[in-house]
Amino acid sequence: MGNHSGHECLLRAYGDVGGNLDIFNDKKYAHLIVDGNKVCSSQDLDGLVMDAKETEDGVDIDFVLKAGYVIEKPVHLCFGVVPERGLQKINVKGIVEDNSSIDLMAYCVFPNSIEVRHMMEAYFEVGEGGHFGYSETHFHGNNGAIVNPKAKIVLKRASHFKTLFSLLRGRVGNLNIEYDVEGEEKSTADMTAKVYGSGEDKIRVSEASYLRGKDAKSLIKSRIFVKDKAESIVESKIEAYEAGARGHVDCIETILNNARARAIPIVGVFHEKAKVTHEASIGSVDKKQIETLMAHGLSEEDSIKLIVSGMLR
Amino acid sequence: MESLETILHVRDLTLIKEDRIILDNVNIQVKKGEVCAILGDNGAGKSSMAYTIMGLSDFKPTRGRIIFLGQDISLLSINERAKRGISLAWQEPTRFEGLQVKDYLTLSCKDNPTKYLEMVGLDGKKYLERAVDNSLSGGERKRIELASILSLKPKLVILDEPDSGIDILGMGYLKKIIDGFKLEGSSILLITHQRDVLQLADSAYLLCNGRVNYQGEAKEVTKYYRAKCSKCSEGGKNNGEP
Repeated sequence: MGNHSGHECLLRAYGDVGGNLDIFNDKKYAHLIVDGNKVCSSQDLDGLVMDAKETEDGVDIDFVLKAGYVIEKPVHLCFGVVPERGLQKINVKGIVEDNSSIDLMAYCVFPNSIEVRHMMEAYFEVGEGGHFGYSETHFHGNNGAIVNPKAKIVLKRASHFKTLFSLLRGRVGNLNIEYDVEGEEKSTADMTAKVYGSGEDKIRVSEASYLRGKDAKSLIKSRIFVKDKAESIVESKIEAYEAGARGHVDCIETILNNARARAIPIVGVFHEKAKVTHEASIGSVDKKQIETLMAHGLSEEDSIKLIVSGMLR
Repeated sequence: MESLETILHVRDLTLIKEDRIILDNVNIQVKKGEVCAILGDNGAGKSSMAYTIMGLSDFKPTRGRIIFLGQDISLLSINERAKRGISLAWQEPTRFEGLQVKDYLTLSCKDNPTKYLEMVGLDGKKYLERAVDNSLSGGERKRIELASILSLKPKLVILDEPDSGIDILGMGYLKKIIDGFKLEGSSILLITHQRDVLQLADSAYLLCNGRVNYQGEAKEVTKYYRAKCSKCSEGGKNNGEP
């Protein structure tokens, strides 16, 4: 494993948000650690080729999972900026070839951020019958960061994509998620975002699924909690173009104090045998839930904490 | 001073909401260890009374007092009442996304939750890891709600229509639930609109349009109801007169 100033601090923050440090010394796990624009450590596996090139402001990553390969254990990625200020641009191109399977677990940590900017521009392609899981866990310290993860995902026939974005500890800062999925026949896309905002955080989650193929399916799920003066907006879009295409948007945004939340679901159906549904609930924590827990002896404050932590679990 | 035998004394309770009288000078006593039923048709004020006793935010008494174990609890919060030993099993239990059954059953009690699930007829192993959300049927949620209240071992439990949503199991099921609470040492205030349920009660109050119309031993109230209320109920009227 390479060494670099701040590297230990980065890994400590990675561990704090749930990352398993042991895997970086375990050859059975592929991994990649990027501190600012430095590649600190990487590990490939048979069938998986990862190429990370350092750039002026970040890293360009190309990975290919060869056809038919199944990577059993999740690949751990750690991206971080340790100083209080800095810019990190991550460009990713990932190809998951036919009938192969991989899960990436990315941890993006900016533990000391006062003015850190992290931009990700990603393109993923999942081949026929392939599976691609991508979870992204963020930690932006106590002051928040400016973060814009942007991804375009192309799903070939009968492929599967599942993603989970979560930012549940510390402050958010300014977050702008933009994911777009194009789904071919019998593909499935399952996208979930969970964010806890406070202070004056600004959160925008924009996810779209275009179900171009017959029997393509998609679920877009958002769970956002904002308090104090934080603001959130969730834009979820599913369009279905072929017979049997099915989509569902499920959005819950809960607010406390002077926070503000908006949801903009856009659903479109362009074939008589396609169907897209949506449900959205925006408001304060449900009073009956609070009172039920209080009737079990919990204080109002503890009841709210439990309800919110359950929603974001 | 309240009699030591009286666990709950609702005194001259009036609840007015939006200029409408919901409860009108209601007086009720529940003795320690007994099953006391509140019988009434839909809209009689039964659930409002349950919520007022529990202290829910929209059910603050306009007049009157709620005495629990000799202390006036009328101004206490819900959780303060719960800590003193009152709890409520809702007619329609709420859902909690992400909250597992095992956590729900150990909110204020560290006992093995499996025992309480079995007391309500559920296989503990099958349900402990499930979330208390819409993946459960209404009947399953109802049983889990009852199990969670059982685990609290309340001194007084208010059961709001405990058989609704699980009617198919009928009286035998309800008796089992009531026996379970008795086993945990709870007194029971049983809210129901089904007069058959009175056979499980020791005493009963007949509530009509927010007023207590008749009270006494459960058998007497049943007789009174059969003799004087049936026509009124069947006719869909609820005008305060038997």
